[in-house]
Amino acid sequence: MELRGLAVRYPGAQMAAVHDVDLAIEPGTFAVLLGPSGCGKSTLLRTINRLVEPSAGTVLIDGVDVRQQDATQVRRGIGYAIQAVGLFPHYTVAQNVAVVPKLLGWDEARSAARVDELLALVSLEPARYRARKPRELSGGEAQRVGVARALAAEPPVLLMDEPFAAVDAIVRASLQDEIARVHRELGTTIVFVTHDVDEALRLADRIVVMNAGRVVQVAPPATLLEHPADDFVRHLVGVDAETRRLALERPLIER
Amino acid sequence: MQLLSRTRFLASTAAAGALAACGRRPGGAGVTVGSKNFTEELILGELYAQRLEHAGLSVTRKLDLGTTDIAMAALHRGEIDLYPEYTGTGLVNVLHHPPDSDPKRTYDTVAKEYRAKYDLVWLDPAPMNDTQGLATTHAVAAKYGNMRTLSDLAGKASQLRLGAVTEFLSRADGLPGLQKTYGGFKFKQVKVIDNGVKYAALQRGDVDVVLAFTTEGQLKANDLVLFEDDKHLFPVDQVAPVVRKAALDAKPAIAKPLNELAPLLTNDVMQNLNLLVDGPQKKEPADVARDFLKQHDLA
Repeated sequence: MELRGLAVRYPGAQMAAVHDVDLAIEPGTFAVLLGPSGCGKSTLLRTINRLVEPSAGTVLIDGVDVRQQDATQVRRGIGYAIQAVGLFPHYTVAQNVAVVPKLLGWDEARSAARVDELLALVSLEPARYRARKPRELSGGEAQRVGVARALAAEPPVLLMDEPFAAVDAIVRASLQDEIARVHRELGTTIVFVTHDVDEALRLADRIVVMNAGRVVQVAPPATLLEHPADDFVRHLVGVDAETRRLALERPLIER
Repeated sequence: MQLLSRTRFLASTAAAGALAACGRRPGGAGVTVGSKNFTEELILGELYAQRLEHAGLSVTRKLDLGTTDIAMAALHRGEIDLYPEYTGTGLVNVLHHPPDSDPKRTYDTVAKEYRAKYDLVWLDPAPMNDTQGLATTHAVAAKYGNMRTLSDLAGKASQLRLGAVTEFLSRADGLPGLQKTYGGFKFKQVKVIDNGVKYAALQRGDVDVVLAFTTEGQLKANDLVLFEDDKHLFPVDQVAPVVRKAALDAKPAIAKPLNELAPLLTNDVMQNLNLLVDGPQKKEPADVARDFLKQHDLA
């Protein structure tokens, strides 16, 4: 995936939300866009699945400009999971997960098998969960269903926008383990937005630090801590940089 | 004859335990209230239990039972006398009918068939309903002739912009369903927006109408107009107590306090009650139920 000279200017806004971003993401990478609220990271993410159209520049996936493809087709080929999960309240968990496969015309048997496979992948026992309605789920369970839904059509690319921000710290840690495992098992390219430094360090192969609409550093977690590009990055990773660096050296249990 | 068929039904479905239970408590002193195992059911179970206690009945709680199957089996065996159930769940998951979007027909069907098949009675349903819909601001609704229903919106859609998730635009119960059921619904523009930003987009005026889910807190927080589904396109799922007929016959006093509670349980109310338990306050369902009933002079 490649973003070239990308800029987004919202109508009436004084400043561009995103300017002059050049970024290449290798297949299979877990890339995390990290930065404070309003830095343009969510806007940048949304240009990838054409929820936002850039005012300049291009987004290439496998060398093809996404704007030369039908927007609906682009979106169906890219998984998307967000904090406001937005499960349809009148569908069961299984029906929610199978929304895109159904639109793609998969037959019932293939959809049903895929639903069970995905629920198991996100640690929701299919027999217990497939017939539930969204109101019968906790916040953490709903997030897991959201991730399963985003993966349903076997997308090569998965976009995630602060997907775990609304759940408590313990549930968040378990969801982070889960998505790290999914990434390892499926090899999906993931672009993940967060403002949480620890979450970024925990999950990323590559961290893309953004400030005021620009990319200020692209680096693996250890490099970011040891060699912050400027004062902004240094302040962002903060006084705990040394503790965080030591934590990185201790491998995650699941990794 | 009726007794015979009921006995045979219980014997065939729930085996020996059911008969024993039947013999043990023909109109005993107390009422046993059950519930399924998620927040809303736990709160409803407590509301029912406290209402019955207030009416002078002695109540045993067997809340947090599990899924619909488990709650139904507990009813069959006489281990519980009643629990909160949703009309749509009864229709589709228990009776295996296709989903229906007419609230009255759904209620009438489950009431009739539960009575005939299981000797169970549905008391009055609450107005709350967990489904999808379309919403707008008061300003937009007023500007286009005080729109209130989806029928009102159908004809004005060509002047308005819709914001919705991409799936809504192609599913049979989404935009194509609206066009088929109501006619019209040719929006001036359709913008694909995700669920996280739809209410912000509506407030900013980027779109005029958004896809909403009827139990979302933002509907209330932003004081929006939810269009009435006057031709019943979207499925319904209202909650009501399901009671063993034998228990109701033995203790007719069960019905009144629960039927008095039902009309108060709107979407807004249930959202607030669920939030008190699941949200940062993390209150106990029993406390949330007690406070609510006190506020309404029902405890």
